[in-house]
Amino acid sequence: MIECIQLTVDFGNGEGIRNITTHFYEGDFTLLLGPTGCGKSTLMRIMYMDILPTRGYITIRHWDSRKISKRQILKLRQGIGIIFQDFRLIENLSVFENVALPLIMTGQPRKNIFERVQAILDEIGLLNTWHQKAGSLSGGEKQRVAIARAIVKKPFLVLADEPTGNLDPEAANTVFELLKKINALGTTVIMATHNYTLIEDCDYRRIYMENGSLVDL
Amino acid sequence: MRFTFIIKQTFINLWTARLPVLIAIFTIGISLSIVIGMGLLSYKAFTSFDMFQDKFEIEVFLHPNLTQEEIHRLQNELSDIHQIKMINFISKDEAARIFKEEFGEDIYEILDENPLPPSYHIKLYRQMTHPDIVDNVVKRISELQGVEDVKYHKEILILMEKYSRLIILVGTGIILALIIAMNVLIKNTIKLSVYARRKQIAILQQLGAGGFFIRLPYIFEGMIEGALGGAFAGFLLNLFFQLINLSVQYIFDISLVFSSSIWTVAIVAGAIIGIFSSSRAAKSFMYLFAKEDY
Ligand SMILES: Nc1ncnc2c1ncn2[C@@H]1O[C@H](COP(=O)(O)OP(=O)(O)O)[C@@H](O)[C@H]1O
Ligand SMILES: [Mg+2]
Repeated sequence: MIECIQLTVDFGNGEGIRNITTHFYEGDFTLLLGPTGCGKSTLMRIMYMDILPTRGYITIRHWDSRKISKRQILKLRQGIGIIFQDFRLIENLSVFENVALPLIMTGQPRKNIFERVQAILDEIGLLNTWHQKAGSLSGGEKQRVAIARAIVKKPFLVLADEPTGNLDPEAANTVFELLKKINALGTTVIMATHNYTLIEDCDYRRIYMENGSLVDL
Repeated sequence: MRFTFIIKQTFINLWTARLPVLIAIFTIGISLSIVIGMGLLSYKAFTSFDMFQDKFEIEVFLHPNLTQEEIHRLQNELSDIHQIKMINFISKDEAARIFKEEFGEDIYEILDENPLPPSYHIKLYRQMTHPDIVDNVVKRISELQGVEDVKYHKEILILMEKYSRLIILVGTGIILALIIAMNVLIKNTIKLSVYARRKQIAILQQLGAGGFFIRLPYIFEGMIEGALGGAFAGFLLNLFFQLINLSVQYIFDISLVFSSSIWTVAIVAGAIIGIFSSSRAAKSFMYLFAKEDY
């Protein structure tokens, strides 16, 4: 479902990613591993077409980086849930508004939004924070809200870029368990991390990167 | 819910930048009141010019002892001049009657005989009242047989010509300058808002929000600033005209016919300028501040 063919991004300073050819499969949980600066984030940014490859191409379902329009990029992003290390919540909005945002902006009816957000906040155990400002939550709670925002729109793909990077081990575990659960329910998940202890017990597919290239171990 | 969200964002933006917003509203109000005031005054000036153009007449005095035939011939020659719209013959007797109307005295009582010559009162087509054209026409008429003298208010024509051009020039200059100033003011508050919200904008972009959804709060912000500025301008203008009406009514005589529509014009004009400036500003500053490197 995701096909990378000789993907290359050149930031103009010799950095970036080089010649990446690989696949990601529908329904899989894939771990993207490698030291800081190896190009994990860059690869993920290509997946939601935040940057377009300098050379090579990527196809995600029917979207092709070589001929995608601006409008289609928005559509693509509406189908992808993205989770970042730094949460990227809108801190002066309530938890409800943050989670509801993807539904609000696509013009869903009010009733659907309330039902859906309620179900998801219930699931992640944050129903009691409904009215709180997102900025007032702890790191672990923020990341769970971010996950709720990512899955509220029932994405076909969840991208998690170092989602546990700012969390203590316990919160990190909760977040990882949530992602596992999302994947178990059928959503494709790609997670970049260098938290090796967190993932040591799982048998998900691993992809290693170094200096902007894939490496076989 | 989408609309509620956008409106809420608009008011959050306005409240966050309330001081610059307030300053913008006041300055827009002052600028807009000058623009509209200028507009009204030039409108007024032009309608007076118009009235004058309508009334403008050339008086052609004839030899006192022309025969009926000669007068007829002259009339035919005059109607051949295509700039002329209307010819009105004033006989000796009529001239005496008009004299009596204007001065209240009977010319026959002052003098034994009527010295007033017969005359033609000529009106030109409105677009023929340019001083050069009038000069030409007058020259042609003076050369006709039986014409003794031609009189008209040349100075006023020249003055009008000069001032109408000046008013258009200065007026459009000032109006343009002030519209640009308003544009800059609104742009500035939008810049502040977009800058303060650059992270939020980047987040919305990552979530796949459409450009319009992202920009609309800023466009509304500009529209509200413009409309409030317009309301303030309406207030200033009403005040101004009331003062004028109290003191020098007979000069300007803008007898508050406009009074209620001034508000509408000011508010609508403000809102339009607001929408125009802010939508452009939102787009360009978003591009500038909310680039990916969040
Ligand atoms: N916008 C950018 N401009 C220039 N260089 C960049 C930019 N983004 C990332 N890089 C460089 O590209 C390389 C890969 O970065 P990144 O994908 O963020 O790595 P990772 O996420 O694995 O830590 C790094 O050397 C980084 O400095
Ligand atoms: Mg990274």
